[in-house]
Parts: sequence; C-alpha cells; structure tokens
Amino acid sequence: MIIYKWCSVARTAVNMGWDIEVSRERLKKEWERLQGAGVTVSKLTREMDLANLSPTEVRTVHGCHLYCHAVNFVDALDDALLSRDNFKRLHRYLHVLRVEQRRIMQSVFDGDKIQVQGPKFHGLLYKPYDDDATLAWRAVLAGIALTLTTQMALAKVFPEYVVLIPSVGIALGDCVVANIGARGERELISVGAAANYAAKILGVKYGLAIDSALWNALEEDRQELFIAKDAVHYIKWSEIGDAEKLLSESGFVWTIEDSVRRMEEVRDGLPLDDISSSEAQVQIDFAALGPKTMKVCEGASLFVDVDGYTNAIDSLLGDEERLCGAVQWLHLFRYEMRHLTTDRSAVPVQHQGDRLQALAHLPSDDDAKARRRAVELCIDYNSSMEDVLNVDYPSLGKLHVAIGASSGKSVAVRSGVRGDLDASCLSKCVSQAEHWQINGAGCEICISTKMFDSLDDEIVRGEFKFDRNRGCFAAKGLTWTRVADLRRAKEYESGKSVGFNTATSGIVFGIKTEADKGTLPLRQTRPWAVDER
Amino acid sequence: MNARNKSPFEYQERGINWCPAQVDRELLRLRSLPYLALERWSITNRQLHVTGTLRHTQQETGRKECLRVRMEYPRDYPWEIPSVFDEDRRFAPSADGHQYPDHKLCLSFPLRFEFPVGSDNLATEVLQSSLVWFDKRCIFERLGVWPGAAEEHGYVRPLKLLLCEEARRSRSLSVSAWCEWVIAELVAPYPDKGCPCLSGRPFAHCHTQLLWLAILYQCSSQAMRDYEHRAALKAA
Repeated sequence: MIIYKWCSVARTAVNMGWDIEVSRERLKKEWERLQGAGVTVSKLTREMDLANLSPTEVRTVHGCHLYCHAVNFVDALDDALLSRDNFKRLHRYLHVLRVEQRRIMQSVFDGDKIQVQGPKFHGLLYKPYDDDATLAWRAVLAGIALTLTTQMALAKVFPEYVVLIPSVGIALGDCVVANIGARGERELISVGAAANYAAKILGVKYGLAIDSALWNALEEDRQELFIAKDAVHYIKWSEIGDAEKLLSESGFVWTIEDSVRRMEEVRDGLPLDDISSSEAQVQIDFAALGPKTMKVCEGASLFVDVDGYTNAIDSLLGDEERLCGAVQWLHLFRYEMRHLTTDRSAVPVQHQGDRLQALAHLPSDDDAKARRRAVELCIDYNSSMEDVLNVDYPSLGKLHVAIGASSGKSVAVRSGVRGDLDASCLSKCVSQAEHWQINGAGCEICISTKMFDSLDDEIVRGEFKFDRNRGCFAAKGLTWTRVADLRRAKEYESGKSVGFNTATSGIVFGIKTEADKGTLPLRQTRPWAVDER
Repeated sequence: MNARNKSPFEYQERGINWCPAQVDRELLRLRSLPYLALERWSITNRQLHVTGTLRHTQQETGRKECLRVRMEYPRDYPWEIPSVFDEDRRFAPSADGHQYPDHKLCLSFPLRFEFPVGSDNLATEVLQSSLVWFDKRCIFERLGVWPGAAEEHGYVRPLKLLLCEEARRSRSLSVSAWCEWVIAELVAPYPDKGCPCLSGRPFAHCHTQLLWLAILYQCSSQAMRDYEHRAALKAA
C-alpha cells in the first residue's frame, strides 16, 4: 500500500472555517467556566433593581414590555437629506430620540431601558410591584408619551427632516433579564413571551397596541379607551383627549415642550461637524463608536435566533434550578455564536435576547467575497447548533436556529448616554434580514438574491431554493457536515479519487477507483483500492 | 484422518496455520494501517479473530468518526474472504444500509471477485473496503441515501448487471443484443455453439466469462422463479 500526502486533492474547494472539534472544545471549556461561576436566578423584588446587575445574576421580572418603533424608518433611510454626508443627520436624529426615550422611560416612569434595536426602542416597566392595574396603566401612559415624543416633539426639534411615524406595542408578563455587558458596561437582554409579543404587535401607524393580559389588568373605565381586534387592543386616540393632562392627573410630569427642550439640548450638544463618519476599511470596533463616531460600510447583516427558546424559558419560569440551566445554555449559545462571528472576521453587533445581530463587511475591497463569507457564517451558526449544541448540551431538547441575511450599505452606530450605549446597524438590508429571520422556520437559512448570486460553491448553491412568497433564497438543514457529505457522495458518484484523513497521524492516504482508468464505464468497483500513481 | 480420505471440497488444509510467527506477521501488517487501531486478537477453532477501531476525519469539518469492528479470518484464509462485523452494533442492520442482520458488513458482491483472493494483502483490502463502507454508511445515516453506486440486493439482479457489464466490455453490438435475449429468455447459452460475437469460434473458447455469467444468471433466475412459485403455492 502506498501512503502519501493527499492535501492537494482532498482540500480543494474545502471551507476550513468551521471545525467541529474546535467548537466542541471551546464550548466544553466555557461550560465548565459557567458551572464554576455559578449563575444565580432570582425574582426581582422591591430591594433590587436592574441598575447594577452583575453578569452572573439573572432576574425573573414581572412587568410590561414596551416597544416603540418607527414604521417609516425605510423612508428616512431613503431621504436625500438624511443620507447626505454618510447618514450623519440620520444618526443624530435617532440619537436625540434615543436619549429622550431613555429619559422618559427611566426618569418619568421609573422603568428601564432594555435595548435599542435599530429603529426599535425596548423598555421595561416593573414598578409598582404586585399591582398589575397600576403597572398596566403606567405602561399605557408611557406608550402615549413615547408616541407623542416621536410624532410631535421630535418633529419640532428637526422640522426639516422626514417625520418618523411611531408604533407602540406593550405586553404584560414574566421574563428573564440578564446583563451581558463586557468590561463593566451595561447591556441588558430579556427573554420571555411578553417581550416577543410586544414586538410582534407593532406595525400599525400611530397605533398603540396592548395584549390581552395587559388589557385585563386595566381598570374597567380604562379598558374602554381601547378597541379590540384579533386579541390585540388598540388605543382610541379620540378618547384620550389631552394626553399631557391625563399624565399629570396620574402623577407623571411630562409635557411635549419639556421633551422638545431636552432634545434641543442634546441636538445642540452634538453639532454635525463634530460627528466623524467614514467608510470602514478594517474591522469595525463597536467599542470605539459613539455619538460622535460612526462608520459606513458595504456588507451583509445577519440575524440568528433560537427557535423555541422563549417557549422553553416560559415553561421553566417556576423552576429556578432548571431555569438557571437554561440561562447557562443561553450564555453558551451566545459565546459560541460570538466566536463563530469573529472567526469569520465579522462583527457581532448586538445580542437581542436569544438572538444575535452580526455584520460581515470584510474584505472591504471585495463585496462578493464578503457576501460569500456571510453565507459561510450562516452555515457555521447552523452547524454549531445542530452538530455541537444539540448533541452535547441537549438539556432544553433539540433547539434550532432561524437565520436571515441580506447585504447592502449599512451604517454602524452606537447611540445613547455614556456607559449605556446601544450598538445598531441602520440599513434597509438589516430590516430585510430581520424580516426573513422572523418568518423563517428553525434550521432554515434565508439569504438575499444578491448573496445567492455571489456563491461559487455548486453544492452550497444547490441547497438554496427560491421562496417566492418571501422573496429570498432559503436552505433547510444546511450544515458543513451536510455539505461535506454531499461533496463526498458526489465524489463516490463520479468515481473520482477519494481521500481519507486518519485521525491520529494526519496522514492521508488516497483511494482510487477503477473508473479512473476508464476500464469500467458502467459502475465503479473496488473503491478501496489504493491509488498507486 | 488421512488427507487422502478427505473430500475434495474440504479446503481447510489450504488455509494458513496460525502459528505465532504467522500471527505476528499478520498483526504487524494490520498495525501498520494508519486508519486502524488494533485492540485485541484471539484464535478460536483455528480461526484468527481481530478487533480494532476504524477511524478517519472528515476533511471539511474535522469530524472524527470511529467504528469498532471485528474481523473474522475464515479457516482457509487467504482463499476465502474474511468477514467484518460492526462490533458495537452502532448501526441498525438494513438492506439499504448494506448490512446483514448479524451486523456483518456487506462489502462486495462475491461474484465480482473484487478481493485479491490468495494474496497476503487480502485482509488489508477487506479493511480498506470496510473503511469505505463505514464512510458511506455515515453519509447514508445523515443523508438517507447510499452515496455512489451500490450493488442491487439479492443474487439475480447483481448477476444481471454483471452480465450487462461484461457485454458492454466486449464492445460488440451482437453480444449486447444476445445478452438482452438471454435476459428476456429468448435464447439459452450453449458452450459448444458459436460465439455471439460472430467470430466463428465456439462460445466456450471465445467469450468464456460471458458464457459462464449467462449460465449462472439463467440457473439462478430459474431457481428464484421456482422458489417464488413454491412460496405462492404455500401461501395459497
């Protein structure tokens, strides 16, 4: 038998970015670290708040999740004035709004900001404790204040810009809140059905939508302010009358003029000339971005979300021990996804509960390669989930990821106040990728046509099928193992030489088929015969 | 018993006598294989049994695959092919997965004579084919389809395929046509008749392999028909 190095043949067209053993080893070490760190889960009580949450402390919170979204955000992206100078104006526009939304949430309503996810603001109200009726009404008032801030106050501060049309969704329920910020920074995530549902009922222009749980918690005369449609209750603005008066009657000091004044202060404190905006030539470091620094790049935005994790958390809310395990699993998932992202020279933008947003923009001089790399990253995510996390850490049963990716020009920013900045990517492709991820099933990768066109591997291309309803290319169950299996099957089918790599020595011995010689046109025989060339 | 009194069909005497030196030589050969980790061996009833782990790494993903196998050398090795078994019963036996109910790997259709019978390398080739089988079986488990060409199940259908391949190899249109007639049972193969390649020579002296396969095919298909007929009568 002749043994020789096979590298030249066996490693052609092989993507070596993801390695199952590397993933396994990495996760094993992190799991051991997490076990040693001792994550604790406890209920949020009167003595605590979400201000100084350490990374090992997790709170279960009963409260109202509030999402405020700008429905016409795409118009703002398309606006000639806002897109001038690398979207400097758009960045300042959103930054001013974010600072004010955060202030209203924290100072006026004694709640907390969880995250800013691009055009969406996510807040949480949990005070007063054990009084759902007061909490629900407070959440409604906060929703009204946020709507009017976006609709009226912001328009007064920036009269020449496109007016953002707000939409607010509020849901009442339990969730898990953790701080995942590195280097002492604050970065909250929340996981729970209420948070998901509040984001789901967004979308109606100028609408303030609440879920049935919140509506039921309201006092009867306040319930009449809403009109029901498909288990969602929408506010009747005509019944509200003077919102400022309503707020002050309930004991909250907020006026539109007050918001205008504060936003003008923030606006004046951030002149356009002070904002530095440039094309990203090297990997974007989000830690270096801030209100005065932003980057623009051509790249692919990705969203990867664990399908079924929220349901798993909801079912475990009474069981602290198992909930602790579930939270540790989430940390493990986040750790792995983050590493996979950086391994491909992509940037993790933001963890949004059980979802990760990433940006693949390198190499900056080769857009097609960057798009290919983004697709490879999508396959990495799915491979780690299916072949490592589901196999080695099945404590929550088999979970799958839904992935959406789209490419285009993106703006990378961090807005908010010092110590509590939120990283965001602003782009049409971000909204598109998010839409595909939300509508995608578990184990599915959805990519844009442009990304599909840049693929050069026939096997990977063959796995994607165009979905006419969603307008994207979708692949189900695509992992590197599947790609390798399909490639190997193709080699066997064609009767070409196949290589085997032995685990210990790394020696690869070649195996050829009789079909190589062309002696058997019908079928290959003796596929184990050693190639003696 | 005297060797002269033995039936000519008893071939035990042809097999290797597993003396210590012979065993050492064989084990040395197996230990040199990079894809096999030899674990233990034993001699039972003049048969050498070897247990080891086949392993290889998937090129693209770094996935390490291992399969513990037991190779049973037959008594008249190297004139008969050793059998390889899935020792840990990792895979469920199935026809589509090319594995017998006793967890023996289905490596090759015997009538193809693909293994170098009589050669010192017979065990090595069997293990190489086991490695290929293992690789294919892993792919089969994940994709649900056996990768590459696979022999048809049973005895008659592979023979039919062999007959067709032999006809194709002759590159003669008349031979190909004759083969189709044999399969359709329009003609029967006779050794003393003229060869279908129209060379004018007797069939037995011209395309001998083809004749032999045609006779085997005819006999086996007849036997199969009789068996099915009997089974139908029994069922009725």
